[in-house]
Amino acid sequence: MKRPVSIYLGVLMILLRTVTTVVTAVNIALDWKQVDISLDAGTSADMDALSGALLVGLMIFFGVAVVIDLSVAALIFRGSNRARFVAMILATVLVLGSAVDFFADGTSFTLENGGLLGLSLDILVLVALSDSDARDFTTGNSNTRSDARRARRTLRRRAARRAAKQVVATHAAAPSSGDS
Amino acid sequence: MSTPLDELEADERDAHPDAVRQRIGVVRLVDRAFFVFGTVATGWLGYLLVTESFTRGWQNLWFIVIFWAVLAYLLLPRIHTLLTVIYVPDYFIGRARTREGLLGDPVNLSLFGSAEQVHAAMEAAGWTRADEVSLTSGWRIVMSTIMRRSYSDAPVSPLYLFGSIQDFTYQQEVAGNPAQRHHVRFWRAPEGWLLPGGIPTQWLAAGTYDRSVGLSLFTLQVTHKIDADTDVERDHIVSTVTEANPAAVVTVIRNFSTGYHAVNGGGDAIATDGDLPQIDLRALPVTSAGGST
Repeated sequence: MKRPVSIYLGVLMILLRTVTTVVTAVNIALDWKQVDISLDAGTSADMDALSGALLVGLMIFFGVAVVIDLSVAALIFRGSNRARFVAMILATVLVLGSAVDFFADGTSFTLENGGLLGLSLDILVLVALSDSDARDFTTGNSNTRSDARRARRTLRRRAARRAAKQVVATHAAAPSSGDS
Repeated sequence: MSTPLDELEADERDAHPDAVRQRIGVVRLVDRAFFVFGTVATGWLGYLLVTESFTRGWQNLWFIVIFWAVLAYLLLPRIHTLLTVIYVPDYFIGRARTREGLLGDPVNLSLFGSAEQVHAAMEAAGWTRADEVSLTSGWRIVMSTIMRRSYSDAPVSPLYLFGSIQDFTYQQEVAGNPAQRHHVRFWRAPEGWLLPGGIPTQWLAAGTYDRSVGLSLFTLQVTHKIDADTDVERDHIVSTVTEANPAAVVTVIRNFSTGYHAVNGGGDAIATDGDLPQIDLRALPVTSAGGST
């Protein structure tokens, strides 16, 4: 089956989302000192080490997120239905999180603070990947491997059955020809 | 469209029919849930975009274009998809349906013959086959619009009959005007399928004339507006095909449907007298030997 446009769009949106994640991570890393100073109450060595560890932890978190995003995008492109569900679940969680922020805490999503862009990308991932074309593509594709395995098994079984039948037939034919 | 069910070996399918069907059923159900949630989320995004464009003021009016794009290409089609499942009949009523499930162009031709014979007849009659909608053809549309070149085999929008997209489309360019063209979509009828009244058919076709470019009434998408008198286009197709192919035999089912005035999937007025010409191409000689039906 040909790859539908919705799959291309969905993968593109995940990749753009990854770019925004990387940009966010870089921004945090660059601004870390300022955050550190504003947060730091007592300038002890302990606090420095703690903030350094926090930064490393955050960067690892972002790194893992980027790796997951990229592998999910690659798997969807190749037609994995599971990866499509993973991406849709992630997008749903992010959208729901934004919705809670918006309706409960009154967080504003504007172009300036970047909130609108991230939210739009999450929603677009959801929209593209829940499209019926995308579903048909991944359900048709992700099952082919297991289907192929199953079909091979059936063929093997059938060949074995045929061989067995042939053996029976020749056995049946041999004594009859010998008798006549 | 191939589903896992089709790809399974027949005896394998007989062995575990419920397991396969159940798996597909669960996938569909969860997908439907994501689809509905996606639609709700898109509605919220639309609201955010509107408030954002109001707070930005007149200097940033371009922002309204983004809102329109979300509305026309994401939100409205999805709302129509969800609603038409409920209230638009999914059996044959002589109308093709749009991707969103809205009633589209009237089916106004029936044909007999193999695919090769249909292709041969249309090509002999001076029609060219339209490209399929794809990334390549989409790119060509963009480039031909920017470079102001003509793209005579530009794809047509998808319409659905028997739950599937048109098998192929033929068109005739109108004097280098990209906004106007003759076009006719073809669907192969399922084997043994009968028209209302028990009349056999092999191909069904919907021919309409694009007269300009405009906005769809239902989705606000940019689309071709069609000429209201679809009978003129139908008769144009029949006359060009019969003139170029003497072997073609035409019979007309009078009042196949009642004559009606309605709107198509883009909100354009359509009117027809309800006659359905049947073109029999089975006597048409085909140059290639593979003339199987």
